[in-house]
Amino acid sequence: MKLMISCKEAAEMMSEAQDQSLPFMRRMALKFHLSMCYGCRRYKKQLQIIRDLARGYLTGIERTKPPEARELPPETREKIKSALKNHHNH
Amino acid sequence: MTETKVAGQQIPDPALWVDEYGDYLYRYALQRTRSTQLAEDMVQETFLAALKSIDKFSGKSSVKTWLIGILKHKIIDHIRKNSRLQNVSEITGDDQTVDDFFDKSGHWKKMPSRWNANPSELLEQDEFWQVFEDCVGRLSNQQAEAFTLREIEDIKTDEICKVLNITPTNLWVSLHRARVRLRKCLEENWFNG
Repeated sequence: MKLMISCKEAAEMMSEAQDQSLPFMRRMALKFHLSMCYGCRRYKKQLQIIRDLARGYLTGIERTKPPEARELPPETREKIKSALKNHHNH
Repeated sequence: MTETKVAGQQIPDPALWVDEYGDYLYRYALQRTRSTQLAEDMVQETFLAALKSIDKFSGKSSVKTWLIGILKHKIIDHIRKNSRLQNVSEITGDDQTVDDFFDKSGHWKKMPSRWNANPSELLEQDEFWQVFEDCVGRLSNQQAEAFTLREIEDIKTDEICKVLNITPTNLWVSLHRARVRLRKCLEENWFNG
């Protein structure tokens, strides 16, 4: 396992590391590369920013859609209510 | 108002659930399915499923959390059914998309630039979400789904593999491509703009 990796390989590893721990040697190779490559250091930070943003996504959408687009249409609301009532009574 | 006592919690008459939680579930479903018809159907199915399994409600979470849990499963089932129709060419091992970003020696063709980013501030900005959605929309179907399930829904990778019917390697490739492309799109359309 080589210690000198390319940015392309580093990007692959950083993506992998987002979902599972890297094995020791790969982690070391990545650390070594990051110590020397500011582009990949930025990439690493940006991956985390994207993750933080994605996690907040649903809350963000909650706030930004106009009220009409955010409400269950009245007919649907009534339809569901009667469906529930019918089920409840059986 | 008749109330049902389940697992030590007073919950309102199921018919009132619709008033209480209907809009919230609808917004969630609409955002994930992008179809008003589908979203309405899913909300209805969710309420019915909740009614049927009301005795299984343990009371450990709030009613809202419980309902969202049921809705999430409906959405996942829907994605799973539609994934079976995926184009096979989506699932190849070629790295062509990611290759576009690196030169022959594996260096960045264009170094990532510095972002001035405060996630908690961005979360409040409508314009940012528009850009974010557009960028996710530019990914391939599988990449968008993999990214959304992993990063937005926070689902574990082995479960995503089952939902999308792909191998862990294919999932990893899709996630990697999604991240590289999304990062670039956000950089070009927001952080560098």
